[in-house]
Amino acid sequence: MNHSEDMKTHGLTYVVVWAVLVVLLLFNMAAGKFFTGLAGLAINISIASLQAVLALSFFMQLKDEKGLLRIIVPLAVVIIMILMGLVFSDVGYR
Amino acid sequence: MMDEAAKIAEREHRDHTGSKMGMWFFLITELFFFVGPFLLYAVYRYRYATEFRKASSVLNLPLAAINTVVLLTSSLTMTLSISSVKRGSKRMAAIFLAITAILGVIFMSNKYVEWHEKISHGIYPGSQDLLMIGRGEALFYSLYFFMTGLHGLHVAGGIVLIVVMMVLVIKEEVHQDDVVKLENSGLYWHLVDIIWIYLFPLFYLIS
Amino acid sequence: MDIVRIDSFYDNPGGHGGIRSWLFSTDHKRIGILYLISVLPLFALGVIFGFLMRLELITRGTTIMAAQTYNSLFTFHGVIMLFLFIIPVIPGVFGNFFLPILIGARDMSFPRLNLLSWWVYMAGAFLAILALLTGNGPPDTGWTFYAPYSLRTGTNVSLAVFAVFVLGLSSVLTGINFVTTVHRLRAPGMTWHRIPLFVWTLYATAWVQIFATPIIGVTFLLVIAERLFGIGVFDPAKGGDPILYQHLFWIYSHPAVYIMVLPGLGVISEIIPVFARRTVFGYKAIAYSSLGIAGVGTLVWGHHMFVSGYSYYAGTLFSFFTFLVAIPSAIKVLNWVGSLYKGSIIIDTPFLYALSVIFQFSIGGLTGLMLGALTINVFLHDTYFVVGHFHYIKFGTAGFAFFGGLHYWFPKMFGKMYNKRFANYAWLVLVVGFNTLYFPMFLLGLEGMPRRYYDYLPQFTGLQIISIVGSWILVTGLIMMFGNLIYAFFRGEKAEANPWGGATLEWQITSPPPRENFEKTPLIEYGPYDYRRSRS
Repeated sequence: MNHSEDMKTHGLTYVVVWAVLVVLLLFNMAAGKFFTGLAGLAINISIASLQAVLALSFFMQLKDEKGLLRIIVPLAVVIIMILMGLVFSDVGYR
Repeated sequence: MMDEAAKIAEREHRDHTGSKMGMWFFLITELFFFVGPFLLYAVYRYRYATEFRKASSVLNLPLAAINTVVLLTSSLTMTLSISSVKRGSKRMAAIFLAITAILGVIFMSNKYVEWHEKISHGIYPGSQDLLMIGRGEALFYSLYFFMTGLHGLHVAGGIVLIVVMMVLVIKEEVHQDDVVKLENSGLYWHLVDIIWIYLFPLFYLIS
Repeated sequence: MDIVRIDSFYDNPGGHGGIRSWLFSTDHKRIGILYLISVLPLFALGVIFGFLMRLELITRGTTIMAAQTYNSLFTFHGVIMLFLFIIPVIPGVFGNFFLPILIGARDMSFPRLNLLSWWVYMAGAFLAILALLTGNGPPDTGWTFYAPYSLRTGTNVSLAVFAVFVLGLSSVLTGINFVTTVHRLRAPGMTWHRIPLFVWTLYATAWVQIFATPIIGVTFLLVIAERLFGIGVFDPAKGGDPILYQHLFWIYSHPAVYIMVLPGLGVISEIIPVFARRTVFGYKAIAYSSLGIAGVGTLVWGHHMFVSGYSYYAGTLFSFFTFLVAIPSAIKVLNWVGSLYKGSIIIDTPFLYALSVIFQFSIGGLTGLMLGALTINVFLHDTYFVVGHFHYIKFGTAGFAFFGGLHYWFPKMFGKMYNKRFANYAWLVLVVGFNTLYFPMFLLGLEGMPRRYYDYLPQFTGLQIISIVGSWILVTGLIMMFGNLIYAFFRGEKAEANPWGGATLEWQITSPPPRENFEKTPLIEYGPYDYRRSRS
């Protein structure tokens, strides 16, 4: 098996991912200028989440994992959203 | 009846998957560790939207943006160092790790400059100035210092970890057939990066 | 007949012996014993504090201490009992000792991390004792450290919450170890539906330890930052919201009570099939109920805050989830009782403890449901009713389950058997003492007596005195029980490998177990409670 070839492709993939991350960063900064309030926050978080997913999938190799490790991050995110939701069921109504 | 050789083999066998799982579980604890302050941020931003925007405008956006690129690049070099080890290229691996560590140090220095700027202008938790301005703004700065400070501590720890890994790579205790420690260190470093990916827009991009 | 003597894990083949071989051991069984001997003195301290609190209340007004001392006592009684005893004890002692054996493994996935967990626990204990004895004196905030008082009081709050932070780290490391071990090291043939129920509870508990503990860790860091640096996130004077402190505190501390009780319930699930000589009723229901309790239990924290001033919507949601979490808890009780049906019951000491747990858990659970109802809670919040409720769960269930586990696994851990008749008497004294101490609290609460009060109105005197006498009976029972076990440790008769006729893996190896647990890796071909096949 030719490790070098696989690794070169892999190495390039990582550089591409990095470039996308930087571009997304620029988008985020631009969005920050043009959108305010809730819309701005939503866009910021969405772009940040996209960056996070890329980092998780490629740099942290979650796309190659199976079983428990594959679902644990989405599971954590769901739990976090529920926690926030329940706290906001309080904070949003008093 | 298991013979001695099989027993030894079983003892020597390192459970790489298990090791990786353990690291992921630890990362989940780190994630939930930051969830607390993020929750506070969410509530206070909801309550003090205007003050948060005003307070955010005082922060040094260009420096923070540079810092974000620094950290993203360090994630790249970290990943490339792992690829290098897997490829058997010890030299490249060590070089990439060195760059990663240096980028981490650059991040910390920029952070120091940023903090110093704020503190010398009287903006720090418990300062007189903070008592004068609105509560919403004071809360913004409290959260800013606490969260970036906590994140900075994690970056500092990560830099130490990377240097240790660099030594292990050079001594060939981390090598093509046993790269788990380095991969786990990488996972930690990427998580620290991801936390910053969220901190950055939340503190610096409120227009 | 024993021709060849198999070395037990107490022996030191070559190498260094003595204390160092214990303090630096990565053998999960030794670490379990280390937890046992470090937890018990702290438990004793917690008992003494509780005893003194009760004694102070024997007359109205000042009896033996000032009000400030009383406040510190109930604070530290809570801190010690919760963070230094109940949370670590069953996972740390029985979990460490038996989890690998129960799944047919040689040790945990991370033996050195396991040792680190214990060392970190000792560091946390040391810091807690420092907070108790030094500086401005132990905190008087209650173990809940509510803001803003915890931010302003001059007592050792920062040190105490930092101690809890360190203890939380120990808990997290244990959780990581247990989850990984259960996933990676089950013996061939040990499918998920063949692991013992105690392992299921340890597994569910470990997940809660991983997800929830960090949140209280960071919350206490925030409290320290607020005290030391003046950030104002919880202080209303600085625009902070003290209710947010309560949210963050209880997001951990409610799941924490499941960390406390779930492993205890798992111990009962182990004991019942053995002493009923039949397979457990509804294995899958009990197994998944552990996950259900852990999962739904993460959603109920706001039931501690019904009268805090938060929104009605939140209150309604939390009340709903609180009722929901009663379902998996009830499933456990119903299935235990179902496991006795058509069983061939042997009444031995561990079984007596299991029976009292079923009784006390039922009371604790039902009173919990009462407290979960918004309208009732308005009257009962912060009264003795709550104190009664949680002691029935933490002491009456988790504590008694720990005692039951001690009596069940004592022969396996120490190779000796205790005097069963005396143990049964001790059990009876404990049950009488416990219920005399805590049941009146429900009545006191319904009559309106507030908790954490140093003084009380004359109409509460009668019930208080009954409760205090109960505490004396209880302490007598504890002395009898521990005395009996300690005597057996030194002078007990040698125990066989399987004195109870259990079918799980720990009973198939010697008492005490050998260093490597198993001569060869077991091959699992049937479930853990299959008594048709076991030889005894």
